[in-house]
Amino acid sequence: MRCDECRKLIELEELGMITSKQLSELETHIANCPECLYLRQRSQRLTNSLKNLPILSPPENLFSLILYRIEKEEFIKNCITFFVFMFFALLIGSVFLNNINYSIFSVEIEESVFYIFSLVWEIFCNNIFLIYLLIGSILLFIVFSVYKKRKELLS
Amino acid sequence: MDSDLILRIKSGDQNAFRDLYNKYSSFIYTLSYRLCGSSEEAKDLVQEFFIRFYNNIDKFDINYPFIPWSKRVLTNLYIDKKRSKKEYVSFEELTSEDDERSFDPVDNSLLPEDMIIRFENKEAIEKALLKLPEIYRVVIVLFYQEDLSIKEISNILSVDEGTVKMRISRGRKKLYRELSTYEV
Repeated sequence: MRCDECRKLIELEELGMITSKQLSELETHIANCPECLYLRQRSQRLTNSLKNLPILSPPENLFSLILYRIEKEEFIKNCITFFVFMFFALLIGSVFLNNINYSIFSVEIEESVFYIFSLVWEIFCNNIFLIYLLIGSILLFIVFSVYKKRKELLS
Repeated sequence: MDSDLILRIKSGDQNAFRDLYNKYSSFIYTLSYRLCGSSEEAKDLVQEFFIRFYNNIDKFDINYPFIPWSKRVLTNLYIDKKRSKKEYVSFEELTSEDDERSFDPVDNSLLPEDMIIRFENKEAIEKALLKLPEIYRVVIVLFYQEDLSIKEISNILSVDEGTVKMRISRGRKKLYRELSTYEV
């Protein structure tokens, strides 16, 4: 076997793709070729070192950062859910109140979907009570979320 | 048992999540650090990994071992992150500097045993690995440290198996060159 063929076998060994026949050919060649022997030893030691590099420790505050980000994401998700819920609750409520001809919501309903949105807006503009209700709900929600987060951190 | 821990996390036990983190964070961080090549990027990747794991815990199959799953997810997260930033260099974008001989010439200026010792110096190898261009570092980390097969790496990176083999060989050659010039 020539040296260049032997070096191809060393490359195959590095990739874990050498057959037992090729391995014995390689062993026979390096027994009489110091240069290929050196290259093979170098290759094997690098492979072993790469497989056994030390395990590193993560920074100490990393878990706190992870928890903080999880809580932040949960808070944002809860806020979005809350606003979506409030919007649909108000939408359904306003349509329902209009249907039963409630005095303060005496606006005619048309079939257009877009009209429902303008209707909600109109109701908001005309009824300060709903705005108070919405602001109150938001404040309550924030207080509850802060309390929940504080309790989790303390625990 | 991981399955117990995961069941506890599923039921909302944050202490179980902490236990799982304590058990695997070193492994995940080491892998991230060697994939990314910097501690800042590694920290971001570890955070992203655990947040995704926590948010998708309901979908996690408790019968599936955590380590192989985490290797795959972490690597995919890393690749996605790089692709979204358009930082991942494709094989074709390599410079001609990478087209080289099939094996480096042997350095005769040092005794073979002195040279060989360099390939066992883990500190030197760590440094040389971090200096490698990303496309080589990633395949070498996946192949030698994560113990993924060439086929698995080719699936993750969406390249053919021949490309993976070539990247491993070229990456190793660059490591040899880097380690040959390392000051002991």
